Amino acid sequence: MTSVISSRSSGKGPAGYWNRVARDKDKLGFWFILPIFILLLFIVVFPLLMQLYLSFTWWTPLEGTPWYMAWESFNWGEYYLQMVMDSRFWGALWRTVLIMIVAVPAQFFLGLALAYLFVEQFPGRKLFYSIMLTPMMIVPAVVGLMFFLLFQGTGPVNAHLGLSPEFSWLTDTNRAMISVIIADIWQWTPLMFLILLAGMLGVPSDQLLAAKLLGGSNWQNFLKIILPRMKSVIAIAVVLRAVECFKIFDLAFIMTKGGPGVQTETISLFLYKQTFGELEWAYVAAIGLTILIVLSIIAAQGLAYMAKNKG
Amino acid sequence: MSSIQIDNVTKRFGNFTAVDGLSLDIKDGEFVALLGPSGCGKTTTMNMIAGLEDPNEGAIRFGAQSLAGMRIQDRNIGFVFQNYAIFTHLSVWKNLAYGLEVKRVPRNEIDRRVKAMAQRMNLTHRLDQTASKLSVNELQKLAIGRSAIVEPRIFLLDEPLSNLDAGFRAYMRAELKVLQHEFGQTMIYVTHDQIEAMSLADKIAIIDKGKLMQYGAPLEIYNNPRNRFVANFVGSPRMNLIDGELREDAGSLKLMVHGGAEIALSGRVRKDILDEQRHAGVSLGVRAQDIYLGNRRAADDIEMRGVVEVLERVGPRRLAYIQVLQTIFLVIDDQDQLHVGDEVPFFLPSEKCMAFDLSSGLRLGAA
Amino acid sequence: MTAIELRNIIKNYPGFDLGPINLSVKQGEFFGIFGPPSSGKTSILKLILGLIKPSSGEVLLTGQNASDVDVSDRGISMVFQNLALFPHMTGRENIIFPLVERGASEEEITRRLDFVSEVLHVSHILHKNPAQMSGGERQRIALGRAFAAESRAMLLDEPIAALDARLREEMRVELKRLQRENNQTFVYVSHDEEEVMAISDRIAIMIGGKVLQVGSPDEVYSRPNSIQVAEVIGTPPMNFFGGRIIGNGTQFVSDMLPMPLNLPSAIAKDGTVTLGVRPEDLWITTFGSEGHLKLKISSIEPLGGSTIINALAGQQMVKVRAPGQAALKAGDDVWLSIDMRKLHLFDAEGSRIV
Repeated sequence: MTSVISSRSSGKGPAGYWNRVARDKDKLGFWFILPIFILLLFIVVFPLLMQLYLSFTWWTPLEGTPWYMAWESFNWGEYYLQMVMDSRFWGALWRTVLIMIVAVPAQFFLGLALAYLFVEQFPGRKLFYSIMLTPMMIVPAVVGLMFFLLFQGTGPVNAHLGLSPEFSWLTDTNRAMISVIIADIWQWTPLMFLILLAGMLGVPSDQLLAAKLLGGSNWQNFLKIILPRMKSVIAIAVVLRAVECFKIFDLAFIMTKGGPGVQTETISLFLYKQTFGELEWAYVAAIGLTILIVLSIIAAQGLAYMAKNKG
Repeated sequence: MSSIQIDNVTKRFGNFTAVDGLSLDIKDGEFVALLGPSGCGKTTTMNMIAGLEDPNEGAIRFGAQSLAGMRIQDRNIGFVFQNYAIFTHLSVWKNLAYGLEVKRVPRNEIDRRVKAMAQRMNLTHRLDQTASKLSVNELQKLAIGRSAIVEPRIFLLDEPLSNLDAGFRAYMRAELKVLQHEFGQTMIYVTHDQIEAMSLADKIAIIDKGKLMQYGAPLEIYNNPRNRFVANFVGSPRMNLIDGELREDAGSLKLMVHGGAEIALSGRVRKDILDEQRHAGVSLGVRAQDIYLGNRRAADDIEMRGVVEVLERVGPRRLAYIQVLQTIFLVIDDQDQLHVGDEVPFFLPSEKCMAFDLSSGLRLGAA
Repeated sequence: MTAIELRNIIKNYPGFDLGPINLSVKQGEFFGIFGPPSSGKTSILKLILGLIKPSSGEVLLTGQNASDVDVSDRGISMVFQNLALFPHMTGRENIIFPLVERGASEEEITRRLDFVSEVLHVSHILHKNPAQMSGGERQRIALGRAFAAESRAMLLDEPIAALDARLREEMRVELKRLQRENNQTFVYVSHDEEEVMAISDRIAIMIGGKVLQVGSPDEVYSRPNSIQVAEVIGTPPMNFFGGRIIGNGTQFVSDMLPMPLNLPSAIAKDGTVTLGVRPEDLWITTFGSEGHLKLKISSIEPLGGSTIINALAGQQMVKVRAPGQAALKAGDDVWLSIDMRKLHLFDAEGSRIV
């Protein structure tokens, strides 16, 4: 057996370095990640820093100076103070939170129930699965338009429920909120369904069988085996949806434009009006940053929970 | 009633027949092994008893009660999976208690029984730990404890020892035997390892390609295999099975072995063959333990001569592979006297030789 | 000629240190490595192959240091436990893969393929995909792939562990024949003691990351150098009795035994020792006599060719292997005799004395 040991990989110098890099997985990984890292720097970090900078100034585009000169109107965070005292801000915030704490749990339980139905094979499963997913495939603005039409006083909903055209959904103070929430639930339950179904299918089937053999009813097994094992998946789904729900814009804008008055003005809508109405961009920057921090904390909690419950 | 009747059961998966007209009568309290190679249908049979599958034809009964249509939850069967299927997200305590909790057994009784079972299984120090942290051996014990605690009338075990290391496996074999005597349950044990089946079971059902080959006590199967498959499958080392054609030559009966050797048959095995109808192809079976070296012991014994090709140490014994033309004989060298390359005479005791019809596999001669 | 040598190999893992290991495998040898799970056996193979690097020490291949040699240049084939067959390729494509990668000629590929498929009896399944093959067939294709490229050594990591008991026995003989006919160097890792003892020319026993004993199967079986080795080699495992040497090294006493045992030859040591006796070196009689240990049979394992008797002496379980088919049953009282020629004595640290 002739010796087949080669020594080209032990050379010094540039050729040697790249050969050694190719062998060392960590070094190789660094060089591969670098390009995307730089990209992220531009797309995420830079705008964030810009926003932070602007939020501490009085700058608006009306002033005529370029944005990097904003330090000239430095205001020591007065906008933040203004935000805390702005009742319209708090109103929008409260309304957004309200939508979130009603819509997200509703979607969750609906999605969970539907996912449970889809775990076992049944005739037509593939077809129904595709149908189930369609709502979330539709452009949110189009969904908004759909429900705008549905909830008209003279629209199909009222007709089916036998209500008079006077019974308004979108212009009534309370019912406007309900309409937006319903639209959101309709559109996004499929996402919950999708994620939760994946989580359910990840539960080892032989453990479920073992539970049945021990005498556990389907409901008992669901509570004690399936749900606990889905903890991280549930956390992902809920956190994901909650954060998205918080940012709700299209539905509210198209269905009610935030009305009547400000009754369905979510935080995103509020910021939108500030940006293109009042043109107080620095103020918007301050609010935006605050919301970002709050949402990040919530998301981080969710992630921490997930990490703790790896199983 | 915890006796089980499997009555002419057939199970098909598409074109493939996994179980073919299987009938078995298992008595209350018996330890029965379902033994056979991979894919023979033993696991499918057990799954049908547990309710994980339904038979296409035939019926399974517990005592007088038919199982058709009975839900898995209602069958009250203990089941140990090959990979244990322990609830890894729950503690050892919770695992043991599961079967009792779902029956709404009162809290203090659950506590008492869980502690007792943990002690029996040597897991008391692990009670509060998450089950995923246990070693493989402990998982095995937990799996058995979890099923045993609900006192099922029947216990099904699917190759439970195959993941364990050899030392622990030997220990668990003894433990299982003791457990079964203590609890008195009917146990059905699926395995492909004939040593395991022989050492544990009261009765062994040998299955091949979905059909029952033989059903009886271990020694009965070992001493009186009913067909060639059983003879080949049971016994360590495997039985020497020499295939060939028969030729009668001036009153003597010879086996013309496919490898070229000629064996002059005499004694009981000759009688067995001649008693039945003339067969063309025959398989001569003789165990390595029965073949002997040295001097002839009985007039009827068949003398052979061959060269020692390989010597293997198998546990306490030396196994010699002796080659006669193209045929290899396995012989136990219990005096440690052989060396590779030796040309030695050896004897096949005619009382211990068996003959099998080559086409049907059936044993020739009185059983 | 030494094909593979491990010199003072140490590999540090979090919470576990492998080594120092000193091993040498001769050219053309069937070298077995046996140990319980997680004893470091697979790591040894990975070190030889070059998949992992030692923290210190050297791996030598035919006398040359292989530290700088790439995995693909070492000329070593490996058969993995899970076989790692390419699922999208046919049996034929799997086998010739290493040759194709190396840029071998058409003619050489055909030659090796024919050779390998004849030796392994796989000619009739070359066109199948792994998914269409049985466990035994997949095994042989995996072996074929490792054999196709002529290599200086083959490393096998529990290659037949996934097969049925009966099939394993048959494959064992095949593997041995393959190895001998090609005069290949095989390094075979297994946690199945019977298998590795039957198949190897020499064995290394590894426990807890260290090599405890190296020798031929006969040596390791009849003269285990420590209790640790003695308790893992042999099925059923060796029986141990704790006790002391008295009378100037001529007798062994134990709480377990009713009378002192007269040792066949005087022992230099005094003090605490452990006596080991294998199940086949113990005899059972149904009539009692003074001075013999009385046991109660707990269970019987009739294996056909022999019978394993599990009997209790108080709390301790004693295992006896009786030849043939013993007519005994659970609950019987029996008496124990020991074959005095087959004693194993270990000192207080567990090392062999006699």
